[in-house]
Amino acid sequence: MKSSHQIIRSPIKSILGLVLACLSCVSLCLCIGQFYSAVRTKDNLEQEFTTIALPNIDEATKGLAFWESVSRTHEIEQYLANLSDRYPEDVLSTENFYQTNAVADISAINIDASNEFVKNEFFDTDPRRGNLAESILYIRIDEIGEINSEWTDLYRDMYSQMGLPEDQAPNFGLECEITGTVLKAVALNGSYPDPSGRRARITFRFTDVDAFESYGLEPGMNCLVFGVDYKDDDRTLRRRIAVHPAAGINDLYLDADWSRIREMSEEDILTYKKMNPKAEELPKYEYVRGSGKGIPLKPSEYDMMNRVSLTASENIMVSSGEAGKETHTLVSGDEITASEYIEQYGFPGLSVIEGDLDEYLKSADGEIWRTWAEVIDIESCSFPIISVANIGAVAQFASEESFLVEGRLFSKKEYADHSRVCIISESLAAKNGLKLGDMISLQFYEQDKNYSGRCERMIERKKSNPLAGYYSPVLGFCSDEKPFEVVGIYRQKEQWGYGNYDFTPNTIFVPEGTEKGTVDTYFYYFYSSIVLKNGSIDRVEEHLKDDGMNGLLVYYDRGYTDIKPSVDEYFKVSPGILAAGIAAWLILTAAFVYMFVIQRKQDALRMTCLGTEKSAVVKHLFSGGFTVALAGIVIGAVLSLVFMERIIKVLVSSIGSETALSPVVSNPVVIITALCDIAVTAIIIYITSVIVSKNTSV
Amino acid sequence: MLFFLKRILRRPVPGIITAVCMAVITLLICLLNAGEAELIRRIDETYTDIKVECAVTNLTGTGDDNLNITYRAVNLFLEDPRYGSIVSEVSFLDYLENVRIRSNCNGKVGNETVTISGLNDITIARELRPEEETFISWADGYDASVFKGSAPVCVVPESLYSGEEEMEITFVHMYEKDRTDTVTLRVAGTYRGFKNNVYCPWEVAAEEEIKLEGYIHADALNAVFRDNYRIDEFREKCASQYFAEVDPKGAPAGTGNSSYRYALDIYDDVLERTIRGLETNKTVFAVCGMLTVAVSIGVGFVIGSIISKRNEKIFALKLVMGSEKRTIWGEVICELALFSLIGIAAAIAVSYAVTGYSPPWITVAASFAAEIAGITVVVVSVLNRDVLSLSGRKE
Repeated sequence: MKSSHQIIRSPIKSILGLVLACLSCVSLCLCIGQFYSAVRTKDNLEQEFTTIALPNIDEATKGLAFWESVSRTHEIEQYLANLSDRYPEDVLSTENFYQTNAVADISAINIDASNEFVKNEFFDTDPRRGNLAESILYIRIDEIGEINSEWTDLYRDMYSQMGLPEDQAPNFGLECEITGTVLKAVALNGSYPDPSGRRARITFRFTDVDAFESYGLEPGMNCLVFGVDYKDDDRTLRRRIAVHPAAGINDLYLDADWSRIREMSEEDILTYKKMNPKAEELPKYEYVRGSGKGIPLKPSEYDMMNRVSLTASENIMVSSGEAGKETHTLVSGDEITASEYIEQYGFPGLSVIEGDLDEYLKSADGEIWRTWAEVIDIESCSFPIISVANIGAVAQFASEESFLVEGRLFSKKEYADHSRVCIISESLAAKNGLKLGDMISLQFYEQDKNYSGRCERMIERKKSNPLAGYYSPVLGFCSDEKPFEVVGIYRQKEQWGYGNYDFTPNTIFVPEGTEKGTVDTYFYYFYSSIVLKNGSIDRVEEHLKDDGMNGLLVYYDRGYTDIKPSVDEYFKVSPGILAAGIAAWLILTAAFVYMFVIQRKQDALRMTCLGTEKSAVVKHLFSGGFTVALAGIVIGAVLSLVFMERIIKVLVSSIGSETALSPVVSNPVVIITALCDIAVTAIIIYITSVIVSKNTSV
Repeated sequence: MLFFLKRILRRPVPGIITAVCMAVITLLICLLNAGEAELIRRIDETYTDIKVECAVTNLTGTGDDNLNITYRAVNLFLEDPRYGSIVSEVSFLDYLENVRIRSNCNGKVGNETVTISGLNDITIARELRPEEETFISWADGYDASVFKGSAPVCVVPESLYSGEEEMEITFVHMYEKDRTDTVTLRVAGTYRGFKNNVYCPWEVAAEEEIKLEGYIHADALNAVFRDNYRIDEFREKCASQYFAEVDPKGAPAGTGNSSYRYALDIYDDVLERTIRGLETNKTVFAVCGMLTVAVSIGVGFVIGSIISKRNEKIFALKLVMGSEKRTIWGEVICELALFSLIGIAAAIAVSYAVTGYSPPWITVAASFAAEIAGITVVVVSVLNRDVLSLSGRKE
């Protein structure tokens, strides 16, 4: 007797069995699927919300004398470093965010040339432009100023005031001011307007008078100059006018009309003097906006019109404050002679061009200029890359000063796989026409600290606003070009801020380890955040109180504390549904077994009467029931996969983006559930078949 | 009727199975409904708990300080006739509260040029946040709340503090530097830091500004929504009337001729993401509820099948004795409906006792109807077979 025949013999019953098994499977898949979804959602939520603590060391050192304060600060830093070991249940880790550098196939934002209305509080030219200010200009000399040692003297005075030996002060040699006209910008960041035709003010530094005289500079000569501090003085003057309180918010920034400048009246100058008794320089001109009083301009400001400026050095020894020294100590500790240092790490300073510029640049003498023109081109597309193990722990994101406007944060998998994905600023995306899913190519490079004249000032700067490191033609790149997918776009509430944890909109975030194997040494870490377990702020504060450190930390959790009770309550519902679903599955399975095993008791009886062995009876009962159950469960699993996934995907796509609380659909979970359903149903059917066959006697 | 009951009691198993099945299904529906209702309640709470802020920014949304916001725009948030006419037809303050404002004025302490920052809340000054390590030493009896009032007090840098309890602070006209007004402010605190700012309550600064300039201004301005459900309404009725939308490519403030000099950025990202997620999960509950109704049809099929199988001979006998198919169907349906209703009632009672939520009557009714439909299909198909087949004598 073929057991499968019984299925065909009673088709309606078989169809009903199919429906029953199918429904039991759907019921099980749904309830386990939703439970899994809830667990994953909770997990995602924990990932989306990161609670961090930032130290407020100043608070803890209040009222202490300087040296006591230093000692206390050290003590506090040690305490904070050990916090996660001390309270591992509440303090998860201390995240340090490291920076490296990369050149991309997109352009960086140059704050100094940006159209953005920036009220620059401290500097005429913003230090946050970093390496974008390197340039090579071809100029015609109009006038050569007096030789002086102003810069070196300034350092000596500073050392003297600090009680340090003057002879230890950096020696930048002598300098003179060369004024001329820009004939061509050979290499310049593309964000600056073309300075051709403008006046140029070059501060040229050199070792001594002999060195200067060896150039044989004369008015009317043409020369190439290289500097790391290109300043568009004309633009700076426009900015000063724009941010002057008298200007208010207006369109002067771009459109200042220099014909509106006139000489100030004696009366106005006297009034200014009276109001600014400490002023070292009195204004002589004023920029007049329509009627009313003008914006006063000092002669030094007046001179900035249509002018660019640059500092050029004879060689790297001069630019690094070692003019006249015979040796230089490399970062490795090795000492080399000045001439070797200049030969290996030298960059151009000033070269007189007697013939055609293009021919000179093609010649062997022009090689160094060609190299550095390439460096400047490379640096126009250089970016600070911050590698993160948890981007939510970056202070700016945790405090909601920066937030995603499109896309998502990095996923756990991307962190684990060191995936080539990145998160960029909205301004950078807008400047380069980038959108989510676009690929940008990054090629990593390391800062070469042996270029002390170029990067020392950066290293000394405070740890906010990381800038792309200077590219070294000696080190070159340390990786091939690698494509990175843009998965998130962030906006900053104050993108050019000066805060301790600020970063510029040029900053690109990548998962930690993405550049592993290419970057051997990090520049240094910029930010540090103490990552707490979500919802543990109160407990951590209690720990600090117990340790006499209360008030030491400032906490940010993006509102997790506010929504935690609501979310916790929500997650309590899920196990209830799981239980109800399993109960439904049990009932449906029991009904199935009743129909396909217990109701076939008569068949078993007949078979026994005809002398069939018990095992064959069991096999008959089992195969008849299990075949139907298997078919039903497979149909149910397919339906669950298609139905659940389709519906939820439609829901998620209608939302526009994935959220931390979006339900998680996992095909493996449905498949595993269906397999378990098959196994358990098979066992139940078999056991029931055995029981039924045993209870059947002639 | 008596016979009907007797028959039920004679063969109670099918009825009990029906009742238990429907009880489980109804319980599932009720629990799903309770979960959904709980979620709705939590969504409400989340709407209330999360504080959504909006801030006046530049047009690209990338700067919210040093904006030099005109008095007209400022007074949209303050609605105070002292600071100028109120131009908005719809009150901003119906939607917003906790307006935080900062304005920077020119000033002098002795011969030292300073910036006088008027604040009505210390948190609007980023540089004074604890992590920026600009530590304020408060004088006895003072704390950060001094900025919320209009007391003539100030917080000065340690470098300018003379040790006196009071200091003379001179406010200087924005560009006519000979126009000044000196006020005496009590020193409420001193701070360490590289800034040369004197901080005072915004109302003090505003009063001086009106005295000197004739109008107020603000450099930073933000507020918190009273009711997060009304954010979209505020966007439409207020924000869009006086402010641009943030546009990453938008002309930066101060450089264009647009009448919108500022944008109003609403920081509802966390709220949106949280609520949308919860809403989606709520829909999953609803979908599961619908699927449960579908399961009821299947249960109906099964029950119908069990009942029909057990009663085939009875059906045949009744048909032979002249009973109409309709009558037989009616009896079966009545019997099973009765047990189903008992199961449903029990499940509703248990669910209500456990969750406190009343059941989704329509879904329960739909589930019941689906079960009956399932039974009907099976029973009708059985009754349509010939009598001999039903009696098992066809072969």
